[in-house]
Amino acid sequence: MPDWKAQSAEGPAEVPSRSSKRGLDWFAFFVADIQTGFGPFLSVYLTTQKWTQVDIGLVLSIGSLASLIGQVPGGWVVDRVQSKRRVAAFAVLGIGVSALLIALTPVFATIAAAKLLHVAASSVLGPAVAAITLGLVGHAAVGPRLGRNARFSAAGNGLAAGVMGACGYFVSAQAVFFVTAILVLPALLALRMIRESDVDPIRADGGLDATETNQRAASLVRFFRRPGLMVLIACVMLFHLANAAMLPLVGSDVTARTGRWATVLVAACIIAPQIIVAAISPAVGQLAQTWGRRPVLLIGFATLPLRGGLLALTNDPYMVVAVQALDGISGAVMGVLVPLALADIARGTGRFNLAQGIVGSATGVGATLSTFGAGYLADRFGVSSAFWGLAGMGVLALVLLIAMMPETRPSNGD
Amino acid sequence: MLPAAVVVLAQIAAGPGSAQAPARPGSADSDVVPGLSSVISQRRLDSVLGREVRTRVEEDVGRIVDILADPQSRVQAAVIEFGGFLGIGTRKIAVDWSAISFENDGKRTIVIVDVSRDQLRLAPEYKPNEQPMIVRTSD
Repeated sequence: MPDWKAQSAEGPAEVPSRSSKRGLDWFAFFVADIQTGFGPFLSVYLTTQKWTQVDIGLVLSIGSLASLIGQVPGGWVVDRVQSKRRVAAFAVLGIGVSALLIALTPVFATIAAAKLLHVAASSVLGPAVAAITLGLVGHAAVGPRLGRNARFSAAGNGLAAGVMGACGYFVSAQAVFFVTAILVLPALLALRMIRESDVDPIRADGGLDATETNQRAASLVRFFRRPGLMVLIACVMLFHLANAAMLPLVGSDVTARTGRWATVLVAACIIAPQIIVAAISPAVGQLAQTWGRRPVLLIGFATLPLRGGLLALTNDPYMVVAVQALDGISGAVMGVLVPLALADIARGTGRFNLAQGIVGSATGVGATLSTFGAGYLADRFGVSSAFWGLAGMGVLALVLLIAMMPETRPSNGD
Repeated sequence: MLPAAVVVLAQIAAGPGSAQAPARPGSADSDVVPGLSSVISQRRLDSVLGREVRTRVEEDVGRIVDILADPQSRVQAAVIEFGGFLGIGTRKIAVDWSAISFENDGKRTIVIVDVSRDQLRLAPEYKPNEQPMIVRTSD
C-alpha cells in the first residue's frame, strides 16, 4: 500500500502521480473555457450595454496594445517564480475577477481595468500551463503530453464556444461573463489536483545547465543566438499574419451570404476546427517524437496557404465550413509543436517561459497586422483577393520554415 | 436646489390643482431658465442604441450600434451589426432610417428593418471614416 507513497516522496520521479496528470488535463480544459468570452464577444456585450463604437474600439485597442507589451515580461515572471502552480492560480483568479467586473460594472474605467487585469493574467497563464507540463513530465515525454494538453484545450474551446454562444444568444451577453466567473472554480480545483511536489521548478523553465547558472544575466544574448529561436519566432509571426484574419473574413462573408443561418454556420467554422484539433493533437505529439519536429511543422504550415487558396476559390458557404476544418490541422500543429520546439531550443537555459512570451508577442503582432492587411485588401479588391494575400503570407512562412528552421529534436532522445 | 427641468416635471406630476409646488411660491418662475422647458412626451420613447433588430421577411438578426445624422441634425440612418458568432464574423451595414420601424406585438416593442436579404448581401460594409452607402427600403 505505501508503495506509491514512497514513490512520490522521491520527488519528481519519471512518472508523475496520476492525480497530477488528470489535474493537468482538466486545467487545460477549463483554462480554455474561461478565455472564450474575452475575445471579440466583449464588443458584442458592450454594444448591448449601449456603449458607443468609439469607446468599444478604444477599450479593445488598450487591451491589444497591453497584450503585445505584456507577454514578454509575463513569460519572464513565470521563469523567475518558484511555484508555477501558484502563478497559475493567481492568473485564473485574476481572470475571474475581471469577468465579474465586466458583468457587474460596464462603465469605461472598470472595463478598461478589467481588460488590463485579464491581459496581465493571460500573459502569465499561457506560459504557466506549458511550464507546469514540462515540470511534470520532463523533456523526454513532453511531446505526447503537449498533444494531450492540446486535446483538452481544444475540447474546452469548442465546448465553451458552443455553450457561451448559446448563452449569449438565448439568455444575455452579460450571463456569459457570469458563467466565465463560475468556471474559475473547477479550473482551480483541477489545479489543486496537480501536486506541487510533482512539478520540478527547474525543469519547468527548461532546465539549467551547471555552466549556465552563474552566467544567467550574460547569457540572454547567447540565448537569442540559439539555433532556431529567431527563425521560429519569425515563422510564428508570419503564420499568424496569414492566419488571424481568415476566420473573421470567412465569418463576415458567410454572414453576408446566408442571412438567418449565418450564426449557425459561423459557429460551425469556429467549432469544427476545434473538434479536429481535439481528435488529432495526441497523434501530432507522437509524430513529433518519431518523425522529428520539422516534418510535422511543415505539414501544419503547408495547410495554411492551402486553406487560404481554397477559401479564395470557394463561394458556397457550406463548402467554406469544410475548408475551414483544415484550420484544425494547422491549429493542432501550432498548439503542440510551437511549445515543443521552444522547449527543445530553451533546454538548459532556464528561459523556456521567456521564449514563450516572446512567441506570444510575435503572435499578437502577426495577428494585428493580418487584420489590417486583409481588411485593406478586402475593401479595395474584394474578399477573394484578401484570401489570396493571406495565402501568400502563408507561403512565405512555409518557405522560411523550409529554408531556415533546423530540426530541434534532441538527437539521442534523452 | 433641484434642477429646473426636474421642478417643471414635478409640477406637472403634481397636477394643476396642487398648491404644494416644491419651489417657493413666487420664485418658481425665476428658477426656470428662460427659453428652456421640458415636456413629457405624448408618445412612448425607446432607447435605440444596442437594440436587437430583425428583418421582416428572412429574419436576419442584428443590433443597432450607431445612428447617423446629416448636418441639419436629421437622423438619416442606423448602423446595424448583423450575423457572426461570439462577435466573430459580424458585418456592419448602414440602413436608411425610414426602413426601420418599431412594432408592438402586444408584449414588447420589436424593431423591424424593412430590407431584403439581397439588399443586405450586396450592401457594402459600413466604414466609420468613409461616406457611407445606405441601404434603402425594399419595394
